[in-house]
Amino acid sequence: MIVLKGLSCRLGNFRLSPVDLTLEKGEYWILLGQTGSGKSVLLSLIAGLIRPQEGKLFKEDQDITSLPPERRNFTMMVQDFALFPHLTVFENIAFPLRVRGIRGREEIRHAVTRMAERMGIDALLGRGLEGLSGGEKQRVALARALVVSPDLLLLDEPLSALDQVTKRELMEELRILHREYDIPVLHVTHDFEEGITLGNRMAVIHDGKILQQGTPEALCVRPASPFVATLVGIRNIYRGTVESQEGRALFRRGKMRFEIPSGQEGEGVVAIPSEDILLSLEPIASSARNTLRAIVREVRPRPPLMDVYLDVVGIPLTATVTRQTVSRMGLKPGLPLYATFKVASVKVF
Amino acid sequence: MKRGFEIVFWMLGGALVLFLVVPLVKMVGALDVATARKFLSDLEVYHSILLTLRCALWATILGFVTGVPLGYLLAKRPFPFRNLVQAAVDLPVVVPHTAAGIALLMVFGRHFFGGKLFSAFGISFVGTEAGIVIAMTFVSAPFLINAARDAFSGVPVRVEQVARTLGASPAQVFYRVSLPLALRGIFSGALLMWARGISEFGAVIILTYHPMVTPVLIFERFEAYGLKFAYPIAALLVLICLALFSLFRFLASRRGKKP
Repeated sequence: MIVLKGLSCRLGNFRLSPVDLTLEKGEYWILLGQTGSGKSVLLSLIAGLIRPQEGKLFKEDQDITSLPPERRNFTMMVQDFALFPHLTVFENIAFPLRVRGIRGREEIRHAVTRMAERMGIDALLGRGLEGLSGGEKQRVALARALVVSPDLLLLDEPLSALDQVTKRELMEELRILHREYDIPVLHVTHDFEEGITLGNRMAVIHDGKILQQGTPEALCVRPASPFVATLVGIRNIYRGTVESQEGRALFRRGKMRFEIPSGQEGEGVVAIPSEDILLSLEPIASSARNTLRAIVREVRPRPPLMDVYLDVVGIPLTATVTRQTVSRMGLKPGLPLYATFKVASVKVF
Repeated sequence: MKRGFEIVFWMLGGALVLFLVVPLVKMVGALDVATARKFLSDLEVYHSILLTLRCALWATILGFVTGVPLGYLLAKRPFPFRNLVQAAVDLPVVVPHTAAGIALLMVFGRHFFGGKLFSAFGISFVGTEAGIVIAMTFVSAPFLINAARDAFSGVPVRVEQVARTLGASPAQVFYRVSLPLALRGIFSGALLMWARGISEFGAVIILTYHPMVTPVLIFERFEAYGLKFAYPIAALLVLICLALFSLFRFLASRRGKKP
């Protein structure tokens, strides 16, 4: 178990606000943030590459705040792999063993070979790094990080330098590895898709602050702020006014009006997940109390689904539907229709 | 339009290349085997060439031992007054070499503190090989230091950081990662420093006229006997240096190609 208690630091103009985070065995943490959000700074702090100004870091109740990186046993893998170009694949993987003072030739050969076989790169062991594909380099880097059984695996944008196909392959590999190795993983990325596929815990970082942390489901269902909502891929976020009418809360943005679960009177921000919007050619009688007249502006694929861009009295609204729906309803630009959604599916910030 | 522009560049650049190459080719070309043999069997010439190569090698070793750490610090550690130190390192390049010799003399001469300090160990810098070595070191060290600095700068910080997380101490990172990756650059800097040391005249002659390094010998023969007695020594030195540098470059490139 690794515990961050109020860990913070200042680097030039950048300030990382105190972070509290607990990484447990079996947890795969996704640290989601944009460029400059401070996600890599936090990773460097945990790795021990930067000293925190305040706060403490614990590993199994042991205070390791002032321990140098080489004595933490947290191995790191980075976007451009940071392999050692002067060493062979074998020597790259053997590096962590050698610097730990392991001398036995057989012992090293055995450990490296086993790890390489596990990663499917045993055929490459004798080679140099020239000519390795991105995916192969990635596997070498992973083997090198795992050969010493670390207490925490730190991944800094590990998939960002790969093409889509290789990336999918390695995501699958990472999932399996995580199940096999019973260690916590902290994976930094800007890519929500990647995060939701791999992580079972997620923290959103922005401007040096952790905005929200929890399970990915919790973040998607109850995003704490419009920013988190945007990051987890929720569309249709509106700023407008909330009014109260006969005990019901109504949201108004321009001429668009709909009912929301609750809300303070005055200015407010709400989101309607595009998947929760039902499209119909005639108004439908259902328990959903919000039905808006709309016109189709554009239909675009969002594999495996389709995005339907609508116009509701001059305000854009996006609905996500299946391909079958698009062809069955004959959705095409200019088509007038009705967009229906439940009051409960509207998220209020 | 573009053609005319390129022709002008080719002419200007070509003129410079000719200017650089023709005199050396002519001098070396004037040397025939009989003359070369005669001059090489002149013990004074022979010993002078060996002395020059040896002293420049010592200077390079000295420069290597101190310049590699300095280059590493300049490249990797943002210490205070780093720019000032960098400027100081470049100083010998812009100082006239006889002035450098005089400056050295005022520290390492018999009556100055450096000279007194080392005389306690039986080392004197005036009229000795040690004098030649420090003169060569002074004027040629910047080549090695800057090459080492550039070579270390070329080692990505990320690679060094990842090495730390993999369990390597700062010293292990240096010996196992940074130094091996920077070695090629450092080696070519060392070669440059050695070459620069061999060719040094101004600073050496102030500290040590005798024993004579080859550039001093060439000067002396020219003054005393004229061109005919000076050019074969010059040509021999150029040939020997070219042969040695080609050999080292060849060895280095073979080492680099090894998987």
